[in-house]
Order: sequence, then C-alpha cells, then structure tokens
Amino acid sequence: MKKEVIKADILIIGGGAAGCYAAILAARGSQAKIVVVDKSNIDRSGCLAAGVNALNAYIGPGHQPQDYVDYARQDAEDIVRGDLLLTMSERLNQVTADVESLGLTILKDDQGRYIQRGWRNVKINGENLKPLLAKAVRGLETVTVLEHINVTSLLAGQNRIAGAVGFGILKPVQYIFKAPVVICAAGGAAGLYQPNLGSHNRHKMWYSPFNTGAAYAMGLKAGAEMTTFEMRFVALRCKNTIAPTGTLAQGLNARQINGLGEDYESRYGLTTSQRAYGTWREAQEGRGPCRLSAKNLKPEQIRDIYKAYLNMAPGQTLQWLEENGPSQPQPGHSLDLEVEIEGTEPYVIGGHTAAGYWVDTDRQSTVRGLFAIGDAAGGCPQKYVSGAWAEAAAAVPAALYFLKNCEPIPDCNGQAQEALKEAQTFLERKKSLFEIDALEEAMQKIMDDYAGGRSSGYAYNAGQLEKAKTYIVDLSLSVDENLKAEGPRQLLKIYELKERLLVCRCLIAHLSARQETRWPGFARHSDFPDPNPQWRCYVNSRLVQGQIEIFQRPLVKEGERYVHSY
Amino acid sequence: MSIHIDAELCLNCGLCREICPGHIYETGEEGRVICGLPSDCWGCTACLKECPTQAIGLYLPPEAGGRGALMKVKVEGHQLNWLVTHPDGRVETLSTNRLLANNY
Repeated sequence: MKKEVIKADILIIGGGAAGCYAAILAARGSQAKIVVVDKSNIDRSGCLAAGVNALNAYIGPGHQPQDYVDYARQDAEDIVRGDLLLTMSERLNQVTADVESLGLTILKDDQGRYIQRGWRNVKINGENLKPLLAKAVRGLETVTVLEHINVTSLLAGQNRIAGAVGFGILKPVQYIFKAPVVICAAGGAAGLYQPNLGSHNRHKMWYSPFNTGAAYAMGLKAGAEMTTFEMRFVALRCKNTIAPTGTLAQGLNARQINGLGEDYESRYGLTTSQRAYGTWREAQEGRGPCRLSAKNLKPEQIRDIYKAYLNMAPGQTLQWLEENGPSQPQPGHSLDLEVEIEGTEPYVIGGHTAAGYWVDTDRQSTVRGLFAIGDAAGGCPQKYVSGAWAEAAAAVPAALYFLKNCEPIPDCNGQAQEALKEAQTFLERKKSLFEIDALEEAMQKIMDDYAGGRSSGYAYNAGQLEKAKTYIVDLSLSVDENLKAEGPRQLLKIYELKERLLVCRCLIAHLSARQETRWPGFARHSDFPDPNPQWRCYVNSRLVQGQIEIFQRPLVKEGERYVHSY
Repeated sequence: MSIHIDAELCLNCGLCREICPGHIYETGEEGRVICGLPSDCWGCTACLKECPTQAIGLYLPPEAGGRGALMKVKVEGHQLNWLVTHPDGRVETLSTNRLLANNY
C-alpha cells in the first residue's frame, strides 16, 4: 500500500457542520496550516447531507443563555455539564449571525428580525447548509481539504496527541497525519442496534448511517476519557421515513394522538425522553398507532410543509404525495396532516444527549492537544447544529493557544506502522469466513436483544447486559480473525464495524454502571426501574489495556472552569 | 434500494460517485458507474441534485410505504424543481428556493 505523510499545525477530523466551522474560525484567527480530513465529500458529508430546516439552539428576545442551560438541564434530568452548556449558549447567536453572513437563509420579518419558532428555534433553508460551509472552507488559503479518507486511529504518546492514521476509500493509500493539535469533529454512532426498517431499507434512519462512532472509537483507543454513553438518544420520528417531527410539532403545533383519538402528550411529561417513552408505552399497551396530528390546515400550509421537508428529509414529502395526494389539495380534500410516529433505534450522539468525550471547559479532551466538538463531545446535550458551531467557537481559541505554547509532538511511527499492519492483515487474508454485513447484523441483534433495543422495549437487566458484553467481545474477535477486505471500500466497512463494536462495548459498560432509570424513553434498567438521587453524577469510562474501566465524577456547574488533572 | 438510475440518461460522469456520503456508487464492468451498494443508500438525494441529466430518481420501497412514485430534482440556480412521477403517469412539480426559508 502506498504511504503518504501529511503534516499540519491543526488537523480537523470530520468536515461536518462542526469541523467546517472550526476550520473557518481557525483560519481567520491564525496563519496555522490546517488540514480537514473527511470520510466523504464535505459538500454533503455528515448528518446534514439532505439539509435541515431550523436551527434548534438560539437565544430569542427576552431570554438569556442561562435559560438555555436551565432548559437543557431539566430535559436531561440534571446530567449535564453546566460549564459547557453556558459557554455554548453564550455563543449561539453570534455563530448563527456569522453563518448567515456566509449565505445561510434565515426567515425574517419586515424589520430584519429573525422569525422564531418558540424562543429557541429559528427557521432556515438549510438544504444547502453543507455546500455553503464547504465553499467557505475550500476558499481559505491556509486550509487543505482531504476527502474520501477514513481515519481509523489517533496517534498519541504520553497522553499527548501527535496526529492520526487513515486509509483511502477510493484508492489504497495509507495516510499518516502528523499534527500537534487535533480537533475531533467526527459524528456520533448510528447502526449499533437493529434499525427501524430491515434488509435493504436498513439505512432509512434519522441519523446518518455513515456516522459509525469513529470519533469515540479512536478516542477510546488513544486513552481518552468518555462520558454518559448510557444517555442514549431515541428520537421520535415519522414511521417508515424516520424523518424528523419538530416541524410538525413545533411549527404547526401538531398534537400527539393515540389510536383511540386521545391526546396523550401531557400524560407522561414533556422532556425529550418522556415524549419518546409515552409514544412507546401507548403502543405497548394496545393504544396505537400513535400519530402527530395537525387539523384544519390551509392548502398553502400543506404545500409549505411539503416544501419544508424537501429541504431536510425529501422521502417524507414523497410519502405524503403518495399517501395523501397532491400538495395543492383540491376542494373536498382533507386538510388534516397526520403522520404515524415511533421511536428509533438508540443512537449514541453528543449533539442531542450528553454522550461523548469528557472535555474541559475549552473542549480539550483528557489527551493533551486533542479537542472534541459537535456530536463527538459529551456533557452538552441539545446543542444541535448551531451548538456545534458554538463549540467550535469555544474550542478554536484554546486550540490556537495550545499550538503556540506546546512542546514538539512525540514520535509515533511505531503506532502508524501497527495501523498499517492491521489494515494489511484484512486486505491480504485469503478469504472471509463471513460477510461483513452478516456480522454487522449479528452485532445489531445482540444489542437489540440484550442491551435494550427497540424489540426489547429499550429495557435491559444486569444479566442481559452481561450476555451482551460476552457476545460483543466474541464478535469483535471474530471480525479481527476472520474478515477479509476486497479492496479499500470493504476495508472501510470492516473499520466501521470495528468502531461500532468498540462503542457497543463501552455503551454496555455504561448501561451496567448506571443503576437507575433516569431517562425512561432512552434507556430503562429493569433491575432499577426508578431514578435514584445517588446517581446525580457522571458515569465516565476509559479503555485501559483492552478493558473498559468505569468511574464516577461529580456534577460540574456553570460558572466553574473545569480543567483536567493530567 | 431506493435509487433508480435511468441508463439512457446517464452520462457516466461520476459526479454521483464523488458526492455520495455512503460511497454506494462504483465503477462497474465496462467502466460504467453503477449503484453497487443500493441497501446502503440513506435517501439524502445528494446524487439527485448533482446529476446533470436527472438520470437518478429516489423511490420509497413498498416496505417503507412506497407505492411506485419516483422523485427527481433539477437544480436551476437557487431554485430546485422537484418532480414526482406516479405509477399512473401523473406528474407533480414542487419548487423550492434556497433563498426562501421554511415558514414552519
């Protein structure tokens, strides 16, 4: 395999919303040589490939950043980092205005003020949000964008980052990145559990199926500390298309209705977890199907909703057109808009819940010089897209300061060589005992059956988790010992499976550790079905000599400046 | 699979292969770009927007509620013209504009 060595001052892994914006800010604030590396083309990579039609984190008139902290803390039942939420909230409006200046369309009134959806959301046309950010990044002289490269591991020595290793997806090349500062902005993890639809529809999921937990896996392997994986995210989504529901719920005030026609919205509480739980339970108790229902709309409202989904989840518009008829209803047509809703497979994702890297207030991980932002970073739920930009704004000045004052990077040539050897083992093996997809399905079934997937009602007990751990460890060994990669595309698939398996192992350890049920819609521990005040703390983890070590940390409040004790 | 390629319209330019975030397109026999991993499609429509001849269409499989309609999109400046063809031949067009925000 050909080898290429790439040197940078700052390496940004992942060119999604967070990574692109970090590159823009780092280039504005310095002369540093910046490299953005992405698994695909940054014009459409990450979770915003199809677009997004609102920014869900914004501080509207009459509100303060602290209000957002209070909201997110309540929604996550206290398990948040106050310092991270506040430093994010303080930057939300500034980063939104900045991205607007790059070309983002935001709905405004006659006087140029944003028209809000509630006090925390602004309405946008984000269909081209990724192309806009990508164009801005590509136009920067000090930034090099390298695409179709799968970063598989970080290079680090003495708890200090030195770079990363990756492999080409379109051509067989090993890339060795040497950089004193690395910002990990790769995505969260989808596809750990059986998805809502099977077989050839398996990728009809809400979160990007190409976000396979690489950020967490590479961090764990490098010794970085993780937090709160057990706060999984179960999204309430449109049945079949798994499209988002916020546009209907918040934009049209659509209500959650069960099969008996009852409005069950306030029966279970209004946090994100409680909404997911309520919908699951109504169906479980025979009162399905649950729907989001908006009645007596005007024809132009229906047309606008169809368009709003084209800018975010076009499959849902297609489904409405097939099921409900034309977007401009004729006289006599129903003017009600209803979608069946259901909970998704559980995801691990730092943009919605608090799972991810354990970082200091500046978003530096426990590995010196390694920063984490966006879905990769933990402790700061409800960040969504604008919050990911705000995290970039919080991290970049600290990353530049670190760059100016840091010691030379340790020599990690041995690690790069090891990574190459591992990849070559997969490429040179004579044959595969299994298909890669078959082992992926086996992983998803283990997780579903024993670690609280959809088919288990998101519930698990200690005995089941123990089985899940054993089976996932066995499966990981099977991947390493039996799979063959026929070329770089299959090598990518094998590494994606390896990433997911390591995230599964860490997730199982976290689920076992938190002996309570705090977020019933996300994760229910059947042995401990109630919340317990003793667990008002973080569950954190590290990979030490191949084993996941779990420990607790006390809650961090806003106003504190959290620093790691290395 | 939810991607349909009209081979007669395809110019074999490879833009779909370049843009797809899931790398589902590849160069097949005789050098033709094909959708080699259809079950990996996320349905993001990045390839539909990129295709210069609208050779690529999105459909919902029956298990996902599909009834045979095919969606295509033509990008003209800021405007996106979405074309949905139903199995009975009915065609519906919806236009979105990148300069106009979501009203809801």
